[in-house]
Amino acid sequence: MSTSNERMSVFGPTLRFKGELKAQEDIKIEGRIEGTIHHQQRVVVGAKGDVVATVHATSIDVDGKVQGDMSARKSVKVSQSAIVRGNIRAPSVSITEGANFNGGVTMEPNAGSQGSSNPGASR
Amino acid sequence: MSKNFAEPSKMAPPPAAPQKDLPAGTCVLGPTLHFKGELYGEEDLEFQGQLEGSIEHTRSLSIGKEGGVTGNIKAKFVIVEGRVDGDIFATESVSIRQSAKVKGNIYAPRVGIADGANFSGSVDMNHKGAAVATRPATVQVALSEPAAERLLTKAMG
Repeated sequence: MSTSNERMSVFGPTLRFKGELKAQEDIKIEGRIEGTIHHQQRVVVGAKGDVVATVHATSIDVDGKVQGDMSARKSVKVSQSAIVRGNIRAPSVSITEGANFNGGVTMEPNAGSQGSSNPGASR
Repeated sequence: MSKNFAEPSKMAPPPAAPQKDLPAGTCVLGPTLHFKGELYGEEDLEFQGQLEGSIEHTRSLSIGKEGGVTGNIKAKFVIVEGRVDGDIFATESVSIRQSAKVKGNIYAPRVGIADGANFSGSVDMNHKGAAVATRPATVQVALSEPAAERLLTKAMG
């Protein structure tokens, strides 16, 4: 788990993907993704990122645009530059002042725990 | 667990200087990534993950040793070190490296297949699409535009 922290995949700003994305490593999205994202690790939507998708991950950081529901096993962070439209489900959610957020927030201790690999953390 | 503490400091630079954070060089998509669908890009890309679907690229694309693609690939330069099941169209060149396993046809003006590579399929160096699209005018058009895409598809067909 800690090894994937060192090298992070970057989905570059000119990349556009339509479909289903699954991954088990940290990824930073600077491009555009339409569809669904199923992640076992951290997802960072960069300032140039544009995601129109349902996102599942361990933790999600949003600096860019997200349209769709997000559910995280640990946390969701919406930063100042973010534009989010959709619902957020996570045990810990933070929204920085200045962020553009429209949607619902559900903070449940074991939210988004479907297929959780570490139940100890969510209980 | 310690990831959470590293996040704020890591997140700080991108909004300030997003250009510097992302070098103009190659972007890498790691080995645990699984894509199902269509991928488009206009930057050099090293792909180490798995993709089912199609890739359309305007620059160089390299399928790394751990990479696997099931579907067609279109790009300017294609370098294959991993597995490809599908046709490869390149406007400049295709290079099949020693570690590659390719099943499909190759359409490009220049093709290199290294000794030791596993390749079954045919090679077409006189493909119309490849020759036409070599003209920079066609390549430099922003491919995000549907009109340009149609143009390229027509040229390929």
